[in-house]
Amino acid sequence: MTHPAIDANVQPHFRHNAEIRRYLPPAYRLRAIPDVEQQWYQAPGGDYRRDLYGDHYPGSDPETLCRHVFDDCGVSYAVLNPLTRGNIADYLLNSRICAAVNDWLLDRWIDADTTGRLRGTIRVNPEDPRGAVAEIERLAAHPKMVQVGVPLQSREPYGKPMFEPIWESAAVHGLPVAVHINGGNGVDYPPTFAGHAHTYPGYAAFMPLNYFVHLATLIIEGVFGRHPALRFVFADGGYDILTPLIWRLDTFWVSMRDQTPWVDKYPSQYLRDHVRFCSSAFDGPTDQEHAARWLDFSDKSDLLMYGSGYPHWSTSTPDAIIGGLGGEQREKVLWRNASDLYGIGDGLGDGVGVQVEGGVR
Amino acid sequence: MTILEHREENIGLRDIEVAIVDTDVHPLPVSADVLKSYAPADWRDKVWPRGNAVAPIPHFYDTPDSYKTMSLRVDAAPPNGGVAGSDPEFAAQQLLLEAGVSIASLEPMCDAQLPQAEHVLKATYNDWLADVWLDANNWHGRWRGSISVSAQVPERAAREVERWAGHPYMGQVLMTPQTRGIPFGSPHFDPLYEAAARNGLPVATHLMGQTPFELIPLYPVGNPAHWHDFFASWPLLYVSHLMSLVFDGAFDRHPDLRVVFIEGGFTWAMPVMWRMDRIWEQRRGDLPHVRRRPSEYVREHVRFTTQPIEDVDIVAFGDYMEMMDLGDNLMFSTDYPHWSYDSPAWAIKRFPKDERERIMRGNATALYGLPATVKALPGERPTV
Repeated sequence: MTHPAIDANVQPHFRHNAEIRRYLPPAYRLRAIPDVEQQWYQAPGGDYRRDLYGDHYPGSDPETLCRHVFDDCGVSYAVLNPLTRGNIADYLLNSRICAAVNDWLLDRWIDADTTGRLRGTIRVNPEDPRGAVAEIERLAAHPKMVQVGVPLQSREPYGKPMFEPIWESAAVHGLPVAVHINGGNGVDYPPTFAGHAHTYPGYAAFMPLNYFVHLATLIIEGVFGRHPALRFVFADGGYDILTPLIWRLDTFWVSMRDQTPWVDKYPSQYLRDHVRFCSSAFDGPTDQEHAARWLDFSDKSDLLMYGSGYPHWSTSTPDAIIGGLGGEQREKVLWRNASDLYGIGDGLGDGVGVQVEGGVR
Repeated sequence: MTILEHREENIGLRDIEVAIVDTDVHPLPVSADVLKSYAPADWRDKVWPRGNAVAPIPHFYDTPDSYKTMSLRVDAAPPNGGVAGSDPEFAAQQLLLEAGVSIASLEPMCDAQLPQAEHVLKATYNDWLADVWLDANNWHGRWRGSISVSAQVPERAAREVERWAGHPYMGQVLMTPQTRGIPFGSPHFDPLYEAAARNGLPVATHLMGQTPFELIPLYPVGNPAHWHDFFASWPLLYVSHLMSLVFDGAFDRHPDLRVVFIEGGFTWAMPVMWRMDRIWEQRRGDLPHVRRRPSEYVREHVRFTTQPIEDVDIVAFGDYMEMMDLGDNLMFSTDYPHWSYDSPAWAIKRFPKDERERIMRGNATALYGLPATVKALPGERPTV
């Protein structure tokens, strides 16, 4: 029997890199903009599933994407979180790129969607806090835009005060903030704590783990404490390292809490109310025998949501993510956590099926 | 038993069995002048231009009451003066006799901004350590030293290793992990690794100073503001170096290289081994030089010291330790005389029963080639 599922992490793409220019204001149309795969650490052979490169970009045709994500994987709803083009130096241009991506997402995907099963992300540029808040205000009322999206890459961790107006706006509008490794190429620091990686696997293995610095600072700077409705989704995974590092933060907080008296409980106690992860092919025990027990450390079954990462080369199916898990863990990871977070898919667990235009699936 | 009976029972016994090896202890020079007396004359005014700085004291990320405690245990200050860790006899009393440590591995902390000066500073520390701790106050043979080297000048570091190789009490090479953006697997370090491996000396790494600011690793998404979010994330520096050692082929180039990660956590090793294995399985074509599963390199080549053990629910922690099954790779440490000291009695209860002997003693004696017995101190009951 297949399980109901929500895919909380899908990246739709432009048909070709230049298509974004149609959605930019005239003053910005001729500016230099990095291509989406123009990174230091491009995967040899391409970042996306090899069989998807064709006349157009992988993940750029709504019908094909829906067939792969919904039909092939038995998924009922998908949250689309498109990439932008990196933390480019001109932050105002970057904000226009985010707005163009949002307008394109609505035009080509969300408003054009005939399945009723696609949801969208409002991409904003954290390096332009006023612009980011304005972009949230512009689109928050759209019923199918269910979260705010920002890059994992940043030159300051997201707990720092300059970002707080953005998070406050997201929380006020009931929108989770999804953090995802961006495309393109910006003004970024080397991707590991020891400098540049010398191989692509060295990069790909480490990069998602940087989320922990955002998480630790969001807790210790008091951002979660001040905004009870704020939710962060770390969409590249990295939950495998959560338990050791949050244990360490708990331990140190006991000694250091007089320096940050506004943090009035153990850091790990913020996780359930404020933090979610999308699944990743790089996380978890290599031996399925440990999978269920391992997910219980730090109550990760309440934090984890299936996310395919389609069309990335490491795309994973629901079955690959739930191997070795218990029944309740599977239900939470496959759809219940995402359903609760995004308010979609009520009744998925009751055998009702998904209400879509044109009938019940 | 009367005192007389006790004495008679112990006639002829002078040694104790090695039961606890402490792999992270920090000695300090009693004064800047003492340290400087070991430096080449023409460097004294260059390495210490203002005449202070026994160790780099200022910290951007400061520990509790730092101005008063300097991150040291207040009760470890020697009664006859000097800072904690500066009196070998008092340290022996407190750590070896009272806490029950059989052998302690000494790791001085120092760094300088300019490569040449840093090399001289490290060499000076080596001469001081050998004289004050490993010779003059080591009749019992229970202090083991580290050959401090500068990561900025691997060729000179290799020669420094050769200068000390064969010393009866120098047990390892000590290098900063704060390498200004050069990951441990880089060929930059090959001369040093070659010298260390050739002489059977593990390469250990331990956090060093925080000044100048460029010595602090640049966190890829920016640096936190406080000690606790900064140091909770610190293991990711070791994760970065470990991934580089494996993926960049350092263990293939140096089959006898052993690396010791000190004071950077160890519970992260389990998920990081899984993560490296998963990537390796999926991208083997990108890593033709990595011939074995990454987790196998870790088990063979890498050791982790235990302090600071996460102080969390002891049952959950025990379950985690069982699942991790890394009992051959962990070595107990206290971090004496620093403020975040783990005592042997507190720590041992956190290890699975069948791993305790290995973690407290066996892994370290095997790695460093330590003896099974050492001399008893006055007041310590000999057993052998």
